[in-house]
Amino acid sequence: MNVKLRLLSVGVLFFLGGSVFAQKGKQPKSKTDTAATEKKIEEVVLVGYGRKETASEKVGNYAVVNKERLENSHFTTVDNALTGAVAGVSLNVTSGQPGANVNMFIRGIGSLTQDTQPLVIIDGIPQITGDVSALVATTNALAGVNSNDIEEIVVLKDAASTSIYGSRGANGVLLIKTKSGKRGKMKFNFNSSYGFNEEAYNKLDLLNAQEHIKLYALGLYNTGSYASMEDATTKAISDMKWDGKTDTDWKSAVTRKNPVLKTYNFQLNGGTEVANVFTSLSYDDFEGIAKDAVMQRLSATINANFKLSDKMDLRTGFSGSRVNTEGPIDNNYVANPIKGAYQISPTQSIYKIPGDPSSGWNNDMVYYNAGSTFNSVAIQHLDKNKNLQGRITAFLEGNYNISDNFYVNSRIAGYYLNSNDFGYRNPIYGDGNTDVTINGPVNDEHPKGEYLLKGRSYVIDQKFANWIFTNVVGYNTTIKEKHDLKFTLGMEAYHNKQDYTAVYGFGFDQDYASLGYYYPDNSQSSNELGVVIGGSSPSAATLVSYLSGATYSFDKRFTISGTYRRDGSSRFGADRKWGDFWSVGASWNLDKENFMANSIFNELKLRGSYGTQGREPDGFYSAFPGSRNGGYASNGTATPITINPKLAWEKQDQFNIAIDFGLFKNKISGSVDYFDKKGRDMIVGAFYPGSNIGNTGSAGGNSVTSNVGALTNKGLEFTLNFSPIKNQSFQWDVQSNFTIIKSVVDDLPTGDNFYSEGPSENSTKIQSVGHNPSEWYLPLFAGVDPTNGNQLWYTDGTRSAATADIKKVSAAFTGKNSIAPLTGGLTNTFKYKGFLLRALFSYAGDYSVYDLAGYSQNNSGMRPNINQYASELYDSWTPDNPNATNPKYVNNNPQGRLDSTRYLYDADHIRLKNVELGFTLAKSVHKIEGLDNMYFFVQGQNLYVWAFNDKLYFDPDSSSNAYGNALAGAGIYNITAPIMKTFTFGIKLNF
Amino acid sequence: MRKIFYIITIITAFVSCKRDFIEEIPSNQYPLDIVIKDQKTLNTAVNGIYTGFVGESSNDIVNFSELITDNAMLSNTNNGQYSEIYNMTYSPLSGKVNRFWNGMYDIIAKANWVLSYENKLTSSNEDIQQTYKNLFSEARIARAYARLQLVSFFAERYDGDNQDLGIIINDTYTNDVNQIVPKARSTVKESYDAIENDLLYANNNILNIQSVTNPELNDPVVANPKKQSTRFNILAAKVLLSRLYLYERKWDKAKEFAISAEGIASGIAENTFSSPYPSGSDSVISSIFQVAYDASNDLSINSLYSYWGSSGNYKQFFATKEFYDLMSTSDKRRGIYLLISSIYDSPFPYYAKKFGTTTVNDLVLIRKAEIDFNKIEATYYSNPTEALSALKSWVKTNRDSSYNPTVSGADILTEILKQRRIEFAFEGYRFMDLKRNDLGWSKGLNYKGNTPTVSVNDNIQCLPIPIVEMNTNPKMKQNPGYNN
Repeated sequence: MNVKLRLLSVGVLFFLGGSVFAQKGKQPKSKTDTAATEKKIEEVVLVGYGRKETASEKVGNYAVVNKERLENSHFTTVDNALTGAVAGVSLNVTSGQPGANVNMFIRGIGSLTQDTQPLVIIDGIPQITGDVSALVATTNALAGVNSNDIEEIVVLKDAASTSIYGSRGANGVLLIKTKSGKRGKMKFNFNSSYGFNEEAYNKLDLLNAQEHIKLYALGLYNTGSYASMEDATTKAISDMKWDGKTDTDWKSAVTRKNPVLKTYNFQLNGGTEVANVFTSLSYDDFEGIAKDAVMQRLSATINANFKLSDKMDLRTGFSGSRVNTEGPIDNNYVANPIKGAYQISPTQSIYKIPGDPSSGWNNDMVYYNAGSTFNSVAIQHLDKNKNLQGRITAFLEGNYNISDNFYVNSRIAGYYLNSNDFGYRNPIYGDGNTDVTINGPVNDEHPKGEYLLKGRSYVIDQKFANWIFTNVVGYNTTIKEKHDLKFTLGMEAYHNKQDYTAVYGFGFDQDYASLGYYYPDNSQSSNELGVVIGGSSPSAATLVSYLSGATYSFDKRFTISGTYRRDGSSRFGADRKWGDFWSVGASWNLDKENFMANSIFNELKLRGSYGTQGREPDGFYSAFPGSRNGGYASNGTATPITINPKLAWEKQDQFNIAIDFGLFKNKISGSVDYFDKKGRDMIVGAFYPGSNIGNTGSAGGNSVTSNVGALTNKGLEFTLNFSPIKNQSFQWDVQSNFTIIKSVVDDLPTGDNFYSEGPSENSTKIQSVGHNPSEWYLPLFAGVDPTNGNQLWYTDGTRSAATADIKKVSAAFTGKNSIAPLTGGLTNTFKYKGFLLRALFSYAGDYSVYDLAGYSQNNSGMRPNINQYASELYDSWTPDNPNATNPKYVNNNPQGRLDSTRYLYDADHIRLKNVELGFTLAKSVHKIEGLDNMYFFVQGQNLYVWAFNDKLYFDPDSSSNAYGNALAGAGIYNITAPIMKTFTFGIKLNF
Repeated sequence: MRKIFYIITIITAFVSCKRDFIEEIPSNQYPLDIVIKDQKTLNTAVNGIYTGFVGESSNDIVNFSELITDNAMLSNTNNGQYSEIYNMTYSPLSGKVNRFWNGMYDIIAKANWVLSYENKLTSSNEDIQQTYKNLFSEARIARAYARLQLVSFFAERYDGDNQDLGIIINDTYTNDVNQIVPKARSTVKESYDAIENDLLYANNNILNIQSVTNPELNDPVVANPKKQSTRFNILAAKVLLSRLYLYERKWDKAKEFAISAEGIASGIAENTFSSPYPSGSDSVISSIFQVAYDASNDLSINSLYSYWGSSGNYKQFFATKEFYDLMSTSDKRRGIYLLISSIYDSPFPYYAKKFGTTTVNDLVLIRKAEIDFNKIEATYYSNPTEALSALKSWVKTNRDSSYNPTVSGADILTEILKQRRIEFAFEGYRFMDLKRNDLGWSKGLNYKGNTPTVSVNDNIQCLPIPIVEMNTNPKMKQNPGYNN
């Protein structure tokens, strides 16, 4: 949690982001000066391109997450470590599938339609972030990064910290530094843990078979076409083809009750005066809740530092990983087994003959429609979705001290990520059970040369191959012991190559699937006709940057600093390529002033900054005035793409003012930051009249990547650290943070609304001037008409009139957000002798989540075939129960589907995110030769959720990965794999 | 001094980085100004117009027409897709209406782009000049076809109410959004006139039946006659003209173009229903225009077959029993329909097997029988007896050997429209046939809840202008009866 880091010792070389060597630490003037002795290890934060700040020089806002938080927590991906840890950072986890994408928001919602992920830089190498899955539910591009290898994560938030990153600094920056070798004898560490999971939060009651028939009959009876409930029940049983006995628990048929996780990590580190090395090897194995969901990660890292001479140093690092993810397709797909578990009626049997697996899987189910082949158990066994991610990064960095003050630093780094998806859809059950006509040779069986093929397979291969070359010169000097000056000048070239190749195979012999255990692990069809269709789409983008920074400190009391960066990007048109980004910052350390000499403050600092960050469009060729190629009737086609040639850099202007304080020798410390971040000329897929451009827009359909509108995120960040008790044997530390963010759309083109989900009657959010961009926009549910049980909605946002006629209903702003504007974290750490107890609570407030499944399962009979929420049976309108929560249940309800606030739930909650109880067995106790301290721990994640809304039956941390961007999917629950609670037992051995 | 030398050297090295490092040209896009430059590239661009037809928006020509009206029903076991269309609860927010609007204008935008070369591409070589004319004619037919769909769904019928609210007639395309000039709605008459102009241009400028006759184009359509109906030709122009004049109630002209089409359609066999209809992806009997599909544009779960087919993924759009009962037992067209003895819908509906057998069957949008039916209907207004005997003869020969209706007076028109309904059911005709004849309709027995009856000039007979068009085009006016 903020703010201090304790990583640099005097004279040791550090590199980060094209970094340079740390300055020599200031020696204490007198050994007797205890304060100075404490400061012997000077706290220095590397803030990019070798610029580093001591605490006294700090002008910007950044926070540090150190390795203690990362090492034991079994984050399937490293971004999860930021939950509740850093003020101003909020995370949307899109699925409980191991390795799922996490949408990070730093200081609010940075963009309406573009990527909101911060720039992630690991050892100076910009990372691909976000969801790279093509077929698997979700695949986090950072899945190959092992959190055990990380020394620290610096989260850069304000302009002074991020402007030097120019492009994409707008979303904030995560600077991640991996561990490096320490001088001394080789040390060997081994960590391992074992754990299991269960669903973290689920209060949903569904119906059993008997109840579902009862509800179905009620729905029939309520249509008025049945004389009695008995008649309706007979019809219900016949419609659902129920044998009167079957009561399938679909959920336990397709999910694991307690998915297991195992992690193993070896680390070796040590070195001599001239060379030191850190190396690690890890293997992690996570099971997901779906029976076919797994993630296995093998990763290795080696970092080495060489001191070639007094003036010349080299650092090199290499890291590689292999991540295998398997799991079902996710969210609203009928083939999603989690959805099947919720929605298939328990009256339906898994097998053709109920209870008899030898009869084969049921392929004639009453599900969304009659005769459905979407048997989740069969699909789970036969279909396949796999992602194999290979990731390699390497860098070589040299530093040459021309003199004591001058240095030159040069580094080159390569990044390679291959994400290979394989999918197979069996020809009998589910999506693969659809004929595709393929033209082939004419023969007796195929007189027209047309082959009807069932079953499909896909191979989708994505390759990211990037390099970055950075050169920096720096000059640091101290004049008359009072004037500290630092200058940095640099240049960087970044080349980003992305290739996409897809191959589809059609037609698979039915036999393969019905054998039950084969699936073709290729895209070559096993049919007589080996039909493969393929395509590829290569693309590249480049960025060249000139950067500079200067800091002047006077007497450790006043600091001013500035950065300037000029970026040229290939993503813009010829005359718009260059953008200028800058920042200025200043701080005043009041605690160093004489008038504060005897105050309770051992630290008191005012700091402020202002500057501009930038954003490139996500698309590589958004402004290229070109044509799109394709095919029609075996011939080539060319169609135009509508672009905005004036597309230019988006700018974010950010103001930050803060106070940092420490009292009673840092017994209490913290900071308060106010920020005001204004995005202008925002890069947005802006809609233009379809009547002019049809679907030729560069951003898809009739939207074109353009600079329009303005967006403000402003807020307050509080960090408070407190040590109530600190003595020889007992220590209690409290770390807390709280953030309030207000996000509002300031400007859009005249009369325009943006639809992050695309405009449709099913839109749940639109963006409009004066509103929070994440605000829900829905028809307003007005309850149930007690006289007849009709569902009522307000006709519009005035809530003045209610109607049961959906034609008269307009959607309206709800005043409720989908991304929490209030977030907080509280960590309590207790240390007693060898024991450690740490608990992290996270809080999210003032937001709501939406149950997209509700329209199927809680819509008063709209889809009677599928299983319903129990409240439809027990709490729906009947003449005897006119004040029920749910409207009258009528099968195939003519009131039709309408998303509305009926499915919107307040989601404010506190989550017990992490608890660790550990015990260190000191060497002095165990006395085992060769073995250093031993640490044993038990840990729990997501152990408990206090949801303030007792009606909320699904996890309040719900977001969907089914949408193109993070804002659109925020707060939407559409039956993805649930977030899990995890219990682990672990051991750490140091040799 | 040496230090400074070092620094200068390094800085120079930085700055001398090649300027073109930040020039990246896509490998799968070509600059627009070089894309069309001769007959071959023009042909490629004309082919590109058809990509606007491949997709869900042109499927909705069929889905909207049938689900809104009375031939079709949405099964009780539906997944919610299209329920707002079937229930006629569409609003400006309706995503499918937005998709349809943009989809039709997409065809127009692509055609406008092609047509912007009309004055730039000329040749003194007569053959080449004729090829240019043919290809530009084809673009005009595509544009006219899309506009005819738009004016059918979004405006009142010709000479009906609200004649000031036609569609947007926009003849220019720019790929630069800064050059876009949003346009107001033309009147209904202006809309029809624009369609007429394009079709007449094609009718007057295409010399051969097929526009793509030049073997130098090396177009598969030339090599494979079975593929010829995957592109618009002069026959399509003539049929669409006769359709347009029916819509305008200009009976003489409707008849004139039907007869003109008849003259060149004689070589095309009428479908005998001896094989499934349409029979396959390449060789639909009697087709005049069909959208070509193959596995590369497999719509998979969202194809027409998926919704209407007997083993489609959704199989939730059916023919109603009332519709099926219109056909006598000797009517060959009965064979297209398959009873669904499943128990979810009552009375039992029928699969309408007009969408092939797979998800990638071609979509037939114009076929030969329309020539005959347009002619018969147009003839009715000058000579009802002649029209009836033509109808009798056609149906008896082609569909129902025992067909012998005994009707007279106004009932003759009713019988003509009934046969037209049966013949073109589930092909996207029903909506406009009802609307242009001021007939109104009701949903029939399968509709759950209070069966809605749509009266003549009901606002619901015009789809709402999508909200995005309303918001982005300041000159746009909404249709009556809708918010915004």
